[in-house]
Amino acid sequence: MSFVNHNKKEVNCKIVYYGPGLGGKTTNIQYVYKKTSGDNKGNMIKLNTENERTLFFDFLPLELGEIRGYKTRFHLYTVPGQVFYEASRKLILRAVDGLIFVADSQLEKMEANIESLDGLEKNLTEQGYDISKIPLVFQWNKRDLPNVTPCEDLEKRLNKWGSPSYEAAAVNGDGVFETLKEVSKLVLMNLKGGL
Amino acid sequence: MSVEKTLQEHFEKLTFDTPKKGFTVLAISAEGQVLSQMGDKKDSKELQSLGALLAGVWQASEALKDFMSEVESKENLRLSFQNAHSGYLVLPPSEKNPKIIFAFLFEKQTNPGKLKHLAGKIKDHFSEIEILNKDSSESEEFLFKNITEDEVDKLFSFAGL
Repeated sequence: MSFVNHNKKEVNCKIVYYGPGLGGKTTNIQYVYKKTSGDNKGNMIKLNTENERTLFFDFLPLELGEIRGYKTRFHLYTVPGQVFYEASRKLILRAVDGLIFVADSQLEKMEANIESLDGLEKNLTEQGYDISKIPLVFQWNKRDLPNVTPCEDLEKRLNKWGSPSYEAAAVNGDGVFETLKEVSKLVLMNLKGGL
Repeated sequence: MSVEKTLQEHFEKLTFDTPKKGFTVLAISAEGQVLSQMGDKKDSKELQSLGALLAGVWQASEALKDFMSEVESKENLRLSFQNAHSGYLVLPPSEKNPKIIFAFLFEKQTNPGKLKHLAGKIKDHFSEIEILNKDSSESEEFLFKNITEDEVDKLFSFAGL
């Protein structure tokens, strides 16, 4: 859950990158880290396996600047994508304010996308969230590869809620900030705690 | 009064003899936000990372506990990671404040055992206080209404969008 500190005029929000294994979640926040100046970011934390797969989570704290006098802090998390890390994914979803579902556009990854999205919906329901009420943005990643599913098909199969969606090639940075910007806006607009 | 202010006031009032160096106490929300701190670690970015990691290991430990049938109550569970002079200790939330954990980080200490005792006393002190977050969690009003594209653009201006 977001934390609003009226004394210090700060808002803290949690954004989680979710999606199938090797879909590009870590690549997204690595790019954000790379392109953000030292004043705006903290250390990126990666809890990885030996072969560079996410084991628990990646974490990047971002300080974006002020909006209406409030300093905005976003904590970006990625979940581990591999199927057997379900317990970890549940933990990371706790108190989430906004979600980016990073779908792998490659044709053969459709089933993995569907499985991951089903898992997301189930995990959110278990924690008392309604996926249709959480700020959610889809990212159709890996559009730079040759064998990709058309975006219309990805929309039809995955985006049941008509959420905003962006094409991306996170490895080059394409679409990375556009997606983050969209979910940040939705999260800020959804933020409760007005005086 | 806000959570942070209440915690800070109580930290300032503490009369325990805490080490002058190499000791930090963090009050952390279950979500990993550092709500207040006392001691060495003050850098806000470092605190954000510490909050995320400490809440993460605490949550993971709680989840592990569910696999242990003999551990019925989490009230007396502690999480510690240390050698003879440095490490950290996380104590469980209290009944009155079920969403706040206290973490104690210590470095280059000659008597960590004494510090653990001190940590228990600090935690007990806060267990007696009901720390409510009246000015943020109870309001159902939206904080920012009708955010414009311009305002969001400004937040992300560093990325050249």
